[in-house]
Amino acid sequence: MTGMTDHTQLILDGTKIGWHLDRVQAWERGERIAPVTIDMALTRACNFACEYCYAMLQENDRKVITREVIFDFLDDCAEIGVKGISFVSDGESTISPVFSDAIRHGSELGLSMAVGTNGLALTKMRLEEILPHLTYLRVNISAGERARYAQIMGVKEEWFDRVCQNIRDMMEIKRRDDLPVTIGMQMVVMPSYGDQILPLARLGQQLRPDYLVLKHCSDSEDGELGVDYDGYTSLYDRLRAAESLSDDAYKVVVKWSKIEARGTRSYQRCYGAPFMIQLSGSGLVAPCGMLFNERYKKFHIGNICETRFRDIWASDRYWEVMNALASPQFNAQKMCGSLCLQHKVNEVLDAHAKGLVQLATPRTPAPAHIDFV
Amino acid sequence: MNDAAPITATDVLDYERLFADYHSGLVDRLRGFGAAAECLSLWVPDEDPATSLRNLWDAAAAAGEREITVYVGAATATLLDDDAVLATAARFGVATLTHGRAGWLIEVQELCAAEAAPRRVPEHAPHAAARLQRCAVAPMRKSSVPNAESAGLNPIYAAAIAQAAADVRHEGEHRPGAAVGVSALVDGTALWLSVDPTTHVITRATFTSAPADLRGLMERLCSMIEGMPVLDAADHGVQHLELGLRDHWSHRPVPGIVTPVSADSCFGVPLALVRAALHEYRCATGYAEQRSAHDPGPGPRWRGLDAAARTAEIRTILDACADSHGGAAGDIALVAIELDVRLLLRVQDPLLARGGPAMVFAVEQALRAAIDPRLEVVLEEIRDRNRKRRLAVVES
Repeated sequence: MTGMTDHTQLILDGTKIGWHLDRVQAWERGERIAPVTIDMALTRACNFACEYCYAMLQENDRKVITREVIFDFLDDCAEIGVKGISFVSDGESTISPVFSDAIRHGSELGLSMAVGTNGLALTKMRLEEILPHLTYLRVNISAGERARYAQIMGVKEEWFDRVCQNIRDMMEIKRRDDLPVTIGMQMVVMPSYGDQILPLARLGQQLRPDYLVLKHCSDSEDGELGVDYDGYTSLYDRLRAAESLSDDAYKVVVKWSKIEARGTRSYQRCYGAPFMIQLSGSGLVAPCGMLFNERYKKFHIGNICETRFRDIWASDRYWEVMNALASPQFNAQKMCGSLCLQHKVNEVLDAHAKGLVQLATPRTPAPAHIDFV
Repeated sequence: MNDAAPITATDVLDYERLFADYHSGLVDRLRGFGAAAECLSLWVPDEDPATSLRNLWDAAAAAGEREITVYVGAATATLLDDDAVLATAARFGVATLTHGRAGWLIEVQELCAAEAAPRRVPEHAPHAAARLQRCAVAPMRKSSVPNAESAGLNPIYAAAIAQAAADVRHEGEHRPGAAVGVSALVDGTALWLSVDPTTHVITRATFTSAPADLRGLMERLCSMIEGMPVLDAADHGVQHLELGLRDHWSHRPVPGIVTPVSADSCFGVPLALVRAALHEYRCATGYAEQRSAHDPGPGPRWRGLDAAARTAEIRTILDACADSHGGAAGDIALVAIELDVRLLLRVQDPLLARGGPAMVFAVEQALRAAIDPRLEVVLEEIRDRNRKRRLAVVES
């Protein structure tokens, strides 16, 4: 395998659920399926203060995920059949003392491991430790200029230089060791950040990650972050110009399907949660990050700091909550925030359940990162 | 982080205090988290003190510091091998370790990034390594998943279907009048719909030729989809039918996710009929909408209640729920009614601790069953604990 990622195999604006047909069929038969992917954080804390941070809406009772807790959790995931674990969710996992060990342990269990991070604390030494064990590492960087970076991400300007250097180090290690890890950058685009789209795309040309993805910003059911979804249309030309800066080894990808959805949903049921659940950095197990806050306690399932995940997964409570979201008593158009993690999976499974599409194993080769649906 | 003056690299860093502060910050702080020492903004400690110290020197070097002195208390020092620690420190610069009665003082000068430690790149990609024996799908309880060929009707539906079959009011063809009439035939059973072409709402639904074991089911289907948009009936009608037929909402026919397909083979014919009827309607009228967005909202009874009557009804149910979970009247209180159907509740801590999320879920179900199925329950939100973030939101 070459260390250079084959970009034709990357799916950044879609879902890979079609490559997990066995699990879809088991779900259709009413069997208890293990999630394909779990999105989680190792802590609720973060060393940044991004303006658009959804985590500010996700506060819940904090508990500490210790080494024992995360190792038990990863052991349980491997045992029940989870395939991929991404440390993204509602905190900066790289500042957790158990971060590097968790990545290594998960990888050694055969789990695909991934990270979404602001990238600040990933010194070269730590990158050397973790990169061989990762499927992808994505750096959240929502500006291409120092001053705007500091403003948008709530940090000192010099941290921009540090993060850029860390990205250079990632790419150097990846090339040097021919590692299969994909290195990405991600901009959370708010309509007011339009001035940073092209500077960031050009910065990516210099840093040479595998890709830069430009995505929408999610908002709560009551629009508490104030995301103006209509405002994205004024950015379309700049987004297309950014895409045109792609080359053979650096892809700029816009999540058009979500941006153009303007925060709306075509479906009312949430079928995606059993396939990809989310854990808060507090250890809370919930079907979705948008339901982390105490406000949505009715959907909270358990906490891995108190109960083994294999027992939470096998509990009637887990399936009671999952069924509630899939039942006529739930309407994602009325009772959820916008453009959640499960959105694309929900779209496909809803169409499948309505008989509008017939899921079949795709004829094309399996894409990269297949364990992250 | 405390409010004292920031610690700089020229100060002696108290490792144990830094470590404790870092850990408490993981719990107490949300945004803007970091180590107490400014020079350690890149530091991530580790439960293993040897690794933790190594990370500390690495972070200081990466941050551009030239020298750093760390005090390691006796409690931590007893867990460490001084030769090994000194060797690690020496990877980052000129290191000295001084023993004292109360711990060690470790000084590293001319700090620079360490040479990479010997690494072993896995011969294979880690995720290609041999995996544990897995059970991707939990074993099914045979009795709970009916076999389409041989199993009878799941008993959780039996009473409701028998009741419907005893009082059939929707059997026979009907004239559509000004509406658009469509019909569908599946396995000998026919469904007849009249649909208002201006609203696409089903005004009348009947069935014919249903075998005896389907008559109750078809009766319930027809009575339920009257007044529903034809698209919503096709997309969600049989889901509503299935849920409505259970003897209790919590009695599920399968261990996993309930869908009309997984629930019971008896739902196959109704599902095919409503979908075929929608297809006929599309062909007859050119109706092309694909997105179901129908929300029936609360029923007329709830809409007709004034605020005092609503509050009184809700309070009665909340007190009953509190009582059934070992609490007292008033332990579950209504704070506000948002958007006409969303009930914001406050639950006393002891009761919430005892009942947990499942109790909140059960309270919602009780309110829906007793008052209106469209009601939702939420608790008071925990606001972001980071002051900087909160102020940013207020200012914006």
